[in-house]
Formats: sequence, C-alpha cells, structure tokens
Amino acid sequence: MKKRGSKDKGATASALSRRDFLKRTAAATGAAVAAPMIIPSSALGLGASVAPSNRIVMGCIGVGSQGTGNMKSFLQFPDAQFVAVCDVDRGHRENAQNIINETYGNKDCTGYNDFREFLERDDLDAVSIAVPDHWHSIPAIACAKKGLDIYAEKPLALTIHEGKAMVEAVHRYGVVWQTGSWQRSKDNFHKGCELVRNGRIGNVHTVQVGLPTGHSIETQPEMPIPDGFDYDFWLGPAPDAPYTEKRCHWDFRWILDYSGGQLTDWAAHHCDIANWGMGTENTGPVSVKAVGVFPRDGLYDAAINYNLECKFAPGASPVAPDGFTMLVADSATFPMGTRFIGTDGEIFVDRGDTIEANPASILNEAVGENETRLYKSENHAQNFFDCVRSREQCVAPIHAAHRAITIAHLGNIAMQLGREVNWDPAAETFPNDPTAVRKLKRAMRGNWHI
Amino acid sequence: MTPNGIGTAALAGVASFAAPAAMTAEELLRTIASYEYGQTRVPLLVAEEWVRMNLDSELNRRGVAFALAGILEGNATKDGKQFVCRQLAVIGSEENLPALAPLLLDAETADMARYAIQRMPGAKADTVLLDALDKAAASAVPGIINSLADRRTVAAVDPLTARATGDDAVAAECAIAALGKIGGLDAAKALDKLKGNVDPSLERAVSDAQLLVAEDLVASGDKDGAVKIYTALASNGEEAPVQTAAKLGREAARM
Repeated sequence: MKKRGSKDKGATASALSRRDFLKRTAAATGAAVAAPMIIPSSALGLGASVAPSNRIVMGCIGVGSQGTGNMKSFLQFPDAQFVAVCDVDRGHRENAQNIINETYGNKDCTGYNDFREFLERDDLDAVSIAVPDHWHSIPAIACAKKGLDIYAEKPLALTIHEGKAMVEAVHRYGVVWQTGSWQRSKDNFHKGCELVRNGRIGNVHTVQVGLPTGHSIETQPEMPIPDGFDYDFWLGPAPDAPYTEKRCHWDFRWILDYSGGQLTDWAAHHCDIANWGMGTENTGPVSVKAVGVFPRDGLYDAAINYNLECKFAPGASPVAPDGFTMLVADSATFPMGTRFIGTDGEIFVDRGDTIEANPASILNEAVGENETRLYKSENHAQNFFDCVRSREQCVAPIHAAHRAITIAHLGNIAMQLGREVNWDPAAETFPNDPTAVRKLKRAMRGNWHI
Repeated sequence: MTPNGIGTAALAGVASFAAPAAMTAEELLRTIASYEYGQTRVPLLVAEEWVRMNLDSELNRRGVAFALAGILEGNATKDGKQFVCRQLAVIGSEENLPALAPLLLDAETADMARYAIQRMPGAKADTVLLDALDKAAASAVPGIINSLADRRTVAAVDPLTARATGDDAVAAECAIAALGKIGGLDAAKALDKLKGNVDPSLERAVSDAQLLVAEDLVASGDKDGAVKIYTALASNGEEAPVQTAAKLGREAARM
C-alpha cells in the first residue's frame, strides 16, 4: 500500500490529495460524522485477491498472549502483510516472528525490542498494539505521530489524562483507530443497542453492567529477571519495582500501577456497549459513588469486588430525557453483560450471542431506515482494514473507548478516595475537587512522557 | 532521630488527628520507614486508610502529610520512601517540599519525588522543580523536565529552550516536547527560534511541539496565531504526518 513513512519529506505534498485530506478530516472528527455502513473489501472484489502491492503493511507492538492472538486473527485476512514485531520479551518476539514467517513461507519478519527502533521503519502503514495498560499511551501516540493507523487493545489508557491525550493525538494526525472492543462487531450487541437507541424499551432509567471479579495473591518474592526479558523496559513509565513473575505479562492487570483491575479491563467491553446503546459516547456521568473490596495483603491491589453508581444528567442520552443511572458491578452483583431497563421493557446482551428482551416481542421489531441506525460491522479486523483503505471511522473509535473507560477510572478514583465524586463530562475534570483532580494523571518514570 | 530512622518531625503532633485503630500512628510511621518489598503490605494498607480518613479535614490532612514527609528526612528504606511519596501525591502540599526537594537531586530518588511534586498545587512546587534542573543528577533531568511540562510551568520556557540545544539528547527532546505542552506565546516564540537550530534528529520534535502550541492558541482565542503556525507546518519541508496534522488543524481553526 502507499507509504506514509516519516522520511519522505516533501513527497506527500502532492500525494496528500484533497480526497485523502477530507477523508482524514472525517475520520478525525469523531462522532460528528454520521456513522457509515462500511462495505467489506471482499464485497468490492478485493478479498482473497488483494495484490501484495495493495496490502496494508503492518507490524505488531506487543505480542504476548493477546497480541499474538490478534496477530493470528489478522493473518487470516489477505488484506495485511506483517513485516515486523516488537516485544520486550524475546520469547514472545521470536514466537511471533516464527508464526509470521511460517505463514508467508519466508524469513522476512524483523523483531525489535524497542518500539522506537521499530518505528524507524519507513514501510509501515498500520500497527497492532497489545501491551500492558501502563504502556498503552506512549506507543499509540508515537504511532499517531508517524501517521500510522492503529488497531489497539482495550482498555484505552491507564488514566483519564492519558486517554484524553491519545484521543487528541489520533485526531490531530488524522489516523484511523480501531479499539479491540470487538463486541461492537457482533450482531446481538448491535441489535440490542439499536433497539434501545430507537426507544423500543421506552425511556431508559437504569443500565446494569456486570463485569468479572478480581483476584488476590500472597506476597511474592523478588526473583531473577528471566533471560531475554527486558524488565526495565517492561516497567517503562511505571514506578520502579522488583521483578517477580506474577507482576508481569497477563497478571499485570491485577496491579494498579499497570492497570485498573477487572473493572477497567472489562468496562472497556460492557460499559462501551452501555454507552453505545445509550448514545453517551461523547459524554459521561456527572457523579459516581463506588465501594469496593480490595486484597488485604499480597502483590495485587486492584479491587476484587466493586459496585459503582454512575448518574447521567437529563439529556445526556437521547433515550433518557430525565437522566439515567448506570450501575456497574462485578459478577457477584450482576450477571456478566449489559442490561438496559426502560419504562416499556428491558434488553440484555452478553457474549455467546446472548440477547434477551422483556417483553420478548421487542426482539421481533425492525428498525426502520429513517430511524437511528448504528454503525454495522460484520468483522472487527475486516472493519479496520476497510477503514484503513477508505479513511472512514471504525466501528470502535477512540473517543468511544475513552468515554467507556473513563467510567471505570471514575469508579476507581471514588473507591480510592472513599467518597462520591462529581464529574464534569464536558471539561473532563472534577469541579471544585482538587484532591480528585490529582487522580486524573500520574507522573511517568524517568524519561518517559507522552 | 529515632532508632528506626524516623525524623523527629515525623512524630510531632501525630496524636492530634485520627489514626487507624490497629496501631498507633507512631508505630505505623516506624513500620513504613522500614518497609521493604516482600514484607506484608498490611501496614501500608493501614496507612492508606489513615490518609483516606483524614482527606476531608484540611488540618488533619496537613498533619498526616507532615508526619509522612518526616519519613523522607530519615534513613528510611527506598521502598518506604516511595510509598510515602505516593501518598503525598494525594495529600502533599507546599509544606512538604523541604522534605521532597533533596530527593529530586538524587537519581535513585528523583522519580519518587516527582510522583508527589508533579501533582502538588502551588507555584512553590514549580520553583523546586526549576531549581533542581541545574542541580540534579544528569539522569534525573529529563524526568524533572517532564514534570515541568505536565504542570505547564511558564517560567520554565527559557531554561527549557536552552536545554533544547544542549548536549544531552534525551533532555533536549524532553525540553522541546515540554515547550509544546506548556504552550502560550512565549513557548510559540521559543519553538520558532529553535526551528532549524536543533540537532537534525530533533527537528521533528519541534514540529510536533508547534502543533500542540497551535492548538493551545486556538483554545485561548488566538486563531490567527495558530493559523500562521499551521500554514508553516503544512509546507513541503515537513514530514507527511505533520503536514496532515497542520492542514487538519488549520481547517478546524478557520471554522
């Protein structure tokens, strides 16, 4: 595909056609643009016959379990050609290189430890990022600065401030962004949200969001850093801490230095669906009460059980003129999934193609062409590839990811302060609450900054 | 100094505000001061609760912060000091700067001091960071610059402009990025002067910083000033992503 490398000074003045510019503008303006129906490239005759010269040249930053899973999924599509992987764990890196090389029958995939060296390449069109949460903002913003389109894992960011900076960077440089909140590309979630948005359950007063519980573990001993693991780079912007196995890789998510626990990990799915159905992807609650149960000792410190009550103002949602309450809790309180409760009925959606309604007849109602139609994506990866080509907005845009995860961050902040917090979703700050404002961001270690 | 290395200041007045029932404030402070990774975190959790239960009273909050900051002045463990700094990030005030400022100068403790100072309201925190720029260990300087950037310390524009052309490439890159985050007319002028006068590897950082400054000018109402910057960055001499961003920004500024 076309190269948008950073070293072609001057070359893009003519290459950047008005068409490209307008499409980038459309992608960058977020929800102000009517959500388009994306036509899969396969329907345009591209599909399996995508010529190598027209493939999207991609690399991966972070190829642990999630990143490798994403990469394997992408490799099933002819749209992309993977040329490089980056990971601070040599074992992960070499495993990913081998998978790519075996797929293409060559040895062309290059491995990098440092994403900054990875980004020195001038042949990349797009990247897949799947790194621990405390590492989300730095490489994502660096990729946006390079003009690379980005498929990135949720939850969007470690803090509200970092998420906001990521949204601004993606819009500033006009790159295409797809969050890994793939539930948006599943029929049941789309249908349930579309029915809610079109008033089929009346005015919504409550949304219940069920997420998984967290974990605790005993105190862990300091351990030797494994050969081939660049632990200092893994820590990156996070505070200095001794190496122990259960701190890293998949387990980072139980520790607040690197994540927000299961609350943020899964709010990026089910709170995102809640916002999609309610039409609140550009706003947020005005107050949040939260209580939690935390590990009493040991390595992990994120909440095990949690219960959030988030109040949205009247008018925040087109289907809640009197405002509504979003209740977010772990599965000890609510079943996993998202339940919309309105004056005329309920709709519940979850994984496994689950969609339930009360009355059940709601599910037989069609949504007309003149009603509010939500963005339809049949496949999350394909939607990304199609948008890279069309320069349209993806089904899971970055502003929506930011607003979904903000709800979870507000819950964590309220739990940490032990009291209700009031939130201004327009200014994205805590009015008259300087203590809570301090929780919007964290200082990064050493040289790291966004 | 107490036998456990807690400065006497830490213990002054600790009985005058609410403390967790599990142990006395004095016992808690001693335990924090000797905390090392691998030990039980229970005392730290108790301390966090102690901080939380005193958040809403200005007087109590200052007292807890003063007691905790005293640990920084003694021979506490590195892990203990780091814990204290993270608590001061929430409850610390200018009163605690004398205990934090020396930590900024040492490469081993500079980051933990920044955790507290970076989020501390008040101009004195800016002054402490600015003072440390010329005194801190070289490896600590980029982080201090990043803190000044985060705080948008306008008084840092001149010293950071000087750092942008210094020998330390990492600090220079941080300084250029910081000018973008600080924003305003002074930073705009500084970046304009740096254009073409920094190490070639840092030219792109200057352009990215100018994009941030232009956004800040738009936000402050100076759209003409922003359009001027955008128009210059939309030129052929810039890298493609900068041109794209400049054209997008200019279009938005004119709306």
